[in-house]
Amino acid sequence: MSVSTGVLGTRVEGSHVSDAAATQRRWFGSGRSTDPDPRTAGAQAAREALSGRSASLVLVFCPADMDVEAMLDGVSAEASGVPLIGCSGIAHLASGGPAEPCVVVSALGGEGFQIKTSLALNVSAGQRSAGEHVAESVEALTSEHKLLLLLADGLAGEQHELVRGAYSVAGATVPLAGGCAADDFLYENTLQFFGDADGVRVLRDAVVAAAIGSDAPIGVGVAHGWRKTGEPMVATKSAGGRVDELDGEPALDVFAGRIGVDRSMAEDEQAFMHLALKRPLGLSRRSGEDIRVIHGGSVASGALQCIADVPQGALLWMMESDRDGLLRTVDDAYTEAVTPLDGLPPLGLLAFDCGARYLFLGPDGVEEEMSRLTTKAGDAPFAGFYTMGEIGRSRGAQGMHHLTLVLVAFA
Amino acid sequence: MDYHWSIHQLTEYFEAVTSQDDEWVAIRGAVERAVEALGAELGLVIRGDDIVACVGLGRATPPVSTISPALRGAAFIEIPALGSLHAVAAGLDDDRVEHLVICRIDDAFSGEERQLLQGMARVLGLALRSLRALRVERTLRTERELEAAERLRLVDTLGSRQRLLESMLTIQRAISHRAPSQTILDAVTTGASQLLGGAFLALVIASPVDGQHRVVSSSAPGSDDAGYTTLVMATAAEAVAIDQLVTRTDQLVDGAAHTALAAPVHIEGQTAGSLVTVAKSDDADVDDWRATLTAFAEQASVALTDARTVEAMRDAYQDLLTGLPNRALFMDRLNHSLQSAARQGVGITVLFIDLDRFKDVNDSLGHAAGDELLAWFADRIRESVRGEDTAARLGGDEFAILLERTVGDSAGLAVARRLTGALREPLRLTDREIFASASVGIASSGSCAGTADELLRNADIAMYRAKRTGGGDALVYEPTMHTEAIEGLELGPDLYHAASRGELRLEFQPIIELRTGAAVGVEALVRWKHSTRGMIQPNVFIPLAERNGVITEIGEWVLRQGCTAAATWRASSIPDLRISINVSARQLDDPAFADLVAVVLTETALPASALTLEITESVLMRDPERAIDLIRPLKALGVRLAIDDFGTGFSSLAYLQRLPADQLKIDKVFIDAIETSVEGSAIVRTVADLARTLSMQTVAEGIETRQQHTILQTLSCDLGQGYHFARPLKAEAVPGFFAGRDRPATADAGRLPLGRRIGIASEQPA
Repeated sequence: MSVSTGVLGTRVEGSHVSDAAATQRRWFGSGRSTDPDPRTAGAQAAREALSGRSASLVLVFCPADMDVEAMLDGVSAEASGVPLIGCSGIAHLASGGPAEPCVVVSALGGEGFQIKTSLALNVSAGQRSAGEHVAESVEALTSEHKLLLLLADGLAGEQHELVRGAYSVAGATVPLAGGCAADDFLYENTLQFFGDADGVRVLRDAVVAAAIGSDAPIGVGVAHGWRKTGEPMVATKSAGGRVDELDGEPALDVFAGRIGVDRSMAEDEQAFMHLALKRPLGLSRRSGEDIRVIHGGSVASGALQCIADVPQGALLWMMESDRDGLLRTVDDAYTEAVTPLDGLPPLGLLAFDCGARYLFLGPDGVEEEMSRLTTKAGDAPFAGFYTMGEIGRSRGAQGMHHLTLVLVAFA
Repeated sequence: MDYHWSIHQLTEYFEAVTSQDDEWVAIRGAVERAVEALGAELGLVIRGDDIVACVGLGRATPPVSTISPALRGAAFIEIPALGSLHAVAAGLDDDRVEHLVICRIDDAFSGEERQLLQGMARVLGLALRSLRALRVERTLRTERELEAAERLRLVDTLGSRQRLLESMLTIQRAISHRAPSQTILDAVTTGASQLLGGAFLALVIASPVDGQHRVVSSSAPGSDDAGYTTLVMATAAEAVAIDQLVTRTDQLVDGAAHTALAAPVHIEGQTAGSLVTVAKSDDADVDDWRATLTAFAEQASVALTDARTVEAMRDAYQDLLTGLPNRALFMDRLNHSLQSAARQGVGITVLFIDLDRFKDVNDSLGHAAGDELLAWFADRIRESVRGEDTAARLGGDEFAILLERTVGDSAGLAVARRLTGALREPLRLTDREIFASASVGIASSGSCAGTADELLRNADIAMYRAKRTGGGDALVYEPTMHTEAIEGLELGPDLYHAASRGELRLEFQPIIELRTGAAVGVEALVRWKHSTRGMIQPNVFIPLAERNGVITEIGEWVLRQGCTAAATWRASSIPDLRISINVSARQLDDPAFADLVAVVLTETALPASALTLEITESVLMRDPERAIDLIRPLKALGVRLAIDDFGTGFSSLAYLQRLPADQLKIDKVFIDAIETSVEGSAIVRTVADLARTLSMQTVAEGIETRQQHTILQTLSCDLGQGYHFARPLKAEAVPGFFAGRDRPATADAGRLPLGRRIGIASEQPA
C-alpha cells in the first residue's frame, strides 16, 4: 500500500484486483441481521450474503450508532482479506426482510468480475480531487463493462464536485453509482469503511470506491417522483449549500411563506428539518428538476441550508410528491437499470435510496416500497441503504441526486 | 406554457465561470457546466488546431480532426469510445479562434439549447478576456505597480462583475416572474446602460410580422434630441447583417464624434436584432464596453428566445381577428413612412375607414356575424392595396390604410373607390344578405405639419364628415372640417341649454299623397340656431344630442312644440293635418315616454290619431320583442307608428308582422335607385306590396325629381316627401303650403332642390 500526501490531504490507495474466484460461476448475494450483538450481526449478515462462496467484493451498510468496529470484525471473520467498502446509513434494505436500521452485507464474485477498490481522505478539503483520485481505479480495469461505485461522506459538502472529479477521469463510458453515508438525521457522525488484506478501517470525511469490471452489462437507474409546483424563485444569493436569498428576500422567509409556516419554526432544528425534508427545492435542469433537500434554516440570518450546492442565479421550484409518485420510482428506476442488460436477468441489485424518502414514506410506505422492489427483483437478491445523497449516472455528466432512488443491476 | 429550462441557466453559468481567477480552471469549469447544463456527455474547448480542454473522455483527448466537423456545422461527430454524437459548436468571441463544442449521445440540440450554448461560449470568452488582460498586465508592470494595479483592477473587475451579476439576476427574476416582455427587455437595456456608465442603450429587433427593425427598448425612450436614431439603426443593421459586434463612428447634431457599438442578438439561434450603445467618442471605452455589451446581448437573446416572448411580440403587433397589423404597428409604420417621405420629398396618404352601422349588425345578427363582417372587410381592404402599402385594423370597426409614395389625393380616392365598389355586392352573413357600406376619410401628408397622429386624425375627421352625409361616401380632408369637428366638441354644453335659451325651432316638411298630390301631413324637424355660430346642422347636433343624452329633453320639446303647432293648424285651416315626430332610441327606452305623450296630447288637445311617431327600423330591431312591449302603451293611446328608414335595418318579417306599425317609410337610398335600375324599382314595389299586406302605408323619403314621383306612383307607393315637393318649411309657411296643395299640382320651381349631390343639401340661413 502506498501513501502519498498532496496539498489537499492524504490519499491512500488500495490495490486489489480480485481474480481469486475466476473459475466460479458469477454470483451476487445479500444478507441482513438485526442481532443486538454487533459482531454477531456482522457475521450473520456476511454469512448469508456469501453463502460459502468466495467473494470479489463485499459491501457493508449499517447504522452509525452501533459498535461498527465489532460489526466489521464479524464481517471480516466471514470474508477475510476480501476488498470491502461500506458506510453508515439511516436505514438499510436487503432481500428477505423489512427496510430498517440493521446490518446489511452484499457481496459479488465469480467469473467475469474485476474489482479495484480505492479511497481518499480529507475529502472536504477537495472533493473534486478526491473524485479524480478514486476514479483512477477504473483505468486498471480491462473488462468490457465497467461501473464506479462511490460511497461518500454525506457531511463533506460539495458532493457534486466529487462526482465532477470522478467523471473527469472515468469519462462517459463508465456509469457512476453509489450513495452518501448518513446517520440518523443527526448530521454529525457519518462513517465510511475500507477493508483490504490489512484489515478494515472506519473512516470519516472520506470517499471509498470500487471500480467494478464485468463481462456482462451493468445498468444504473435513477428516478425521484417529485414534480415542481407553484411559481419559481431565483437563488439571488447563495454559496455552496447555503441559500441566503430567494428573489432578493431572506430565503427562510420565502420558504416559510411558501409552506405556510412561521419562520420561527426554524428555531426547532429537528422539527424544521422533518418539515423541510418533505418540501424540497428543485433546480431547473434539462433532464427535469435537480432536487435539493433543505435540512436546516437560520432564523438569525434567514438562510436555508441544503445538503448540496444551490448555485447562485439558479432557478428553483418548490417540489411536491405523494406516496404513489414516490413508490412509482421503484418501477421507473428498475426499468432503467435493467434495460442495458440486453434481456439478461439481473444477478443482483444495489439500492441507494434517499433517507428523506424513508421519512416521507413512513413505515407503511417503506414496506410497500420493499414489496415492490422484491416483486421487481424476483429471484435477484438486493441490498442497499437509505442515504444522505445518491449517486447515479449513465447518461449526461451529472450524477449527484437527492430524494432519489438509484438502482444498480448486475447481470 | 411551461418554462424552458435553458433560459435560466446563463446566470448560474456566468456566476460560476467568472468567479475563477485561473484561466485553465475557468475553461474546465465552463466546459463541465456546459456539458451538465445541456445533458451532454462530451465537451471541449478548441483553439485553432488544439484541444484546450476536454471533459467526458477521461484522461484521453480525441484527435481534433474528429471534432472539427462540428466547427463547420456538422450535426454529428464520431468518437470511437462513444460512437456517434450530436454536436454543436459556438465561438467564444467574434474572432472565432476559440470554440466551445458540446456533444450528446441521445438527442439533437434544440434551438433554445443552441442559444444557451452561444451565451455560454460568449460568457467564457468574456471571462477569459479579463483573465488574459490581467495576466498581460502582470507581466508588464513592476512588482509594486503590479500589486496596486492588480488590486485596483481586481476590485474594479470584481465590482463590475458584481454589478453585472446583479443586473443579470434582476433580469432572471423578471423572466422567472413572467414579467411582461417589455419589462424584461427594459431590464436588459437599463442594466446594460448602468454598467456602461449611463450610456445610451437601445435594443433593436426585427418585427416578427414584417421584418422591419425597430427599437423595442431603450434606456432613454421617447426622445432623440441627440439624433442617435440614424447611427443606432445603421450600426444595428450592420451587426445583424454580419452577425458580429460592430463599431461605428459618426458626427451627430452636437458636432461631436459619437461611437456606437452593436452586439447581435439572437432568437432561437437566428440573428434577430442587436443591442446598441452610443456615446461621445471621447467618453467611449470601446474595449471595455465590448465585453459587457456582449454579455447583455446574450442575456437578451435567451430572454427573447423564450417562446412566450416571441409570441407576445407577435401578438403585440397583429390584430387577432383579421390578421392585419394593429394600431401600434400601423402608427409605428406611419411614423417611419412620414420621416422617410419627408427625406425623399414624396407624399404619403392615409385612409381612415369605418364600417357604417356596424353596431346594428352586431346587435341584430350577433357578434359572430359582426366578426365575420370585419374579417370579410379586412380581406377587401387587403385586396385594395399594393404590397408596399399597409392596411391595419385600428380597433372596433375602424380600419386604416397607409399608401406610400403618393402625389396628391388621387391615389387615396382610387383606393376608396375600389373599396366602396367592393361593398356594392351583398354579403351573406349567417343566413341573411346584407349590404355593407363604409365611410372613408382621406388625408395626405401635405395636409399637416408632419406627425403621424395629426395625419391620422385628419383622415378620421374626413371620415366622420363622410359618415354624416349618410355613409358609403369618401371625402378628402379639408382644414374647415377640422374646425367643424372642434365645434362639435364645443357645442355639447351649449346644446344642453339650447331649448331653454330659445335657440331651437321646428321646421316642417310636407308629406304628400302621391296619387293626388295633396298635402296630408308634415314631419317635424328640429333646427338649432346657435347664439353665436348661427345655424348648426342637424347631422351635427342630433348625433351629439344622442351621445350626450340631451336628445330626451330636445325630444320632449319637439313633441310639445309639434303637437301644439299641429293642434293649432287643425283648429284653424287644416283640420285633417297629421304630424310626424321622430322618436329616438333613448326616448323609446324611457318607461315614462308613453305617459309623456299622453300628457302632451291632453295639454295640446291634439287627437292621438293625428300624431305619428317615427322610429327607425334599426332602433326597433335592436330588440324586437322589447320594442313591441315598448310600443304597446303608445299604440294604446291611439297614436300611429311609422317605421323610419325602412330597408336599412335588419327586420325579421316575423317581427315586422307583429309590430303594430301604421307606416313604412322607405329610406332615401332606395328611392334614389328607382330611376337608375330595374332592381331598384322592384325593391320599392316589393316593399310597397309588403306594406300593403301588413296593412301599412308606404312613405317614400327624399323624392327629388318628377321622374321619381311618377315611378313611385306606378309602384303603388302611398305617400312621399322630399325636395321635389318642398324643403322643410317654417311654421308660418305651412298653412299657405297646404292651401295650395289640395289638388294635383306641379312643383314650385323656386323650391326645387339644389341638385343631386349625395349628402346634405345646404340649408339657407334663416
